[in-house]
Amino acid sequence: MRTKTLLLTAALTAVGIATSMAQVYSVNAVGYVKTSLQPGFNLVSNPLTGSDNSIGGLLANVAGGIPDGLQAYKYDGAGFKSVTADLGELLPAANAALTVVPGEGMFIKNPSSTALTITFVGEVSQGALSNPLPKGLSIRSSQVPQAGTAAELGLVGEDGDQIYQYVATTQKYYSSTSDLGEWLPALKTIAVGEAFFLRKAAAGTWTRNFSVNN
Amino acid sequence: MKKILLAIAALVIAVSAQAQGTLTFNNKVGTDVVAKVTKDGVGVSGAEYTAQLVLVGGNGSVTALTPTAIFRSGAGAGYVSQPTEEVVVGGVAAGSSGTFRMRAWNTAAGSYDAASTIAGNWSGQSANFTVSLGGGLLPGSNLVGLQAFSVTLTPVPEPATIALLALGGAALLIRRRK
Repeated sequence: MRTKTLLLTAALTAVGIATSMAQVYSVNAVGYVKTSLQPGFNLVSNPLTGSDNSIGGLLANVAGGIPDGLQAYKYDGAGFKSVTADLGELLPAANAALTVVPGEGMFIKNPSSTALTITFVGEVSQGALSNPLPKGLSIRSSQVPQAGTAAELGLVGEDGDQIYQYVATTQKYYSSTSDLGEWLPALKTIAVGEAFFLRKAAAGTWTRNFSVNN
Repeated sequence: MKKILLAIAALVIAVSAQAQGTLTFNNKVGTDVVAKVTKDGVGVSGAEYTAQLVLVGGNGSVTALTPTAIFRSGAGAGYVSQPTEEVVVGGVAAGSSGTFRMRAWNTAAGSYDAASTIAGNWSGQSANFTVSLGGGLLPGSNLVGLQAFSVTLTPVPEPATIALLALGGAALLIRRRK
């Protein structure tokens, strides 16, 4: 009886430790996100860390292939660096090699009259995440594939901060300004795979502590 | 082929740079823009007052811009409720500079011109300010340089003024009959 009890206790302890370890040390979460690209300009993010996060690598996952005339624009704080697709190439190659990692974003111009679909494949960012927010304008996005308003996604606004969401269906910006502790007009939901322009009054950091288990 | 493509790409970028300029209509953005609109020293609030930006031309002409805005209430009184859409400045390219003025008037008057000429209404406008416009793929610029201003009552003409006008009119009529 004593031996059985000891064995049972040991077994339960082992299960407990294994369960505990499973909770603390989550496995990597790998998946994909499909994002619709409306005709015209779309402000998109890369919601997953893929094996190739270059603009060229990301655009390679446009369903049906990259159409001629598709363009991507990455903002560097001073201006845009653009890439244009033609005859199966993305030019200039140096710009196609620029990366867009989770937390950043880029414009993609769909030259056709119908929506395209781009699929992002990769790993979900987890743990203590930090997204640097420079003073002035930058294109930012959630570092994890979650939908919600910027506030719901953990972005704390300081007075004077401004968020500009590009509405692809109207090709216009929807903007909100933070003042006296609130965003006016009210923030809109940011979809998974969507980026936005952020104008910061002072540099800051957007921090998250994220786990797929929570 | 690549050279042609790059030339086309450069042309596309140049064309997008010719997009119409845009502004973010908000007279309080952190410490960059703080331009309170007051009436008798108190911030105007709610939908009772309307605000609008106007483009000031080189000859002093003004072009009213849309959308207009109403004012916030409470602690935000004196500051506009930022419209959800940016102000598009026709005729001024993105990245170019433009000179503007902000106006406010009591909404019931119907327009700034009416409010500033019809007795009993309230209106006011800022000094001119010049900003470089956003637009194209970039968000609209803030109204940096906009200064605070107040709305004042359009006065009712005094009896003596009305009498003078009546006399003048009568004199004209008499002269025509002669």
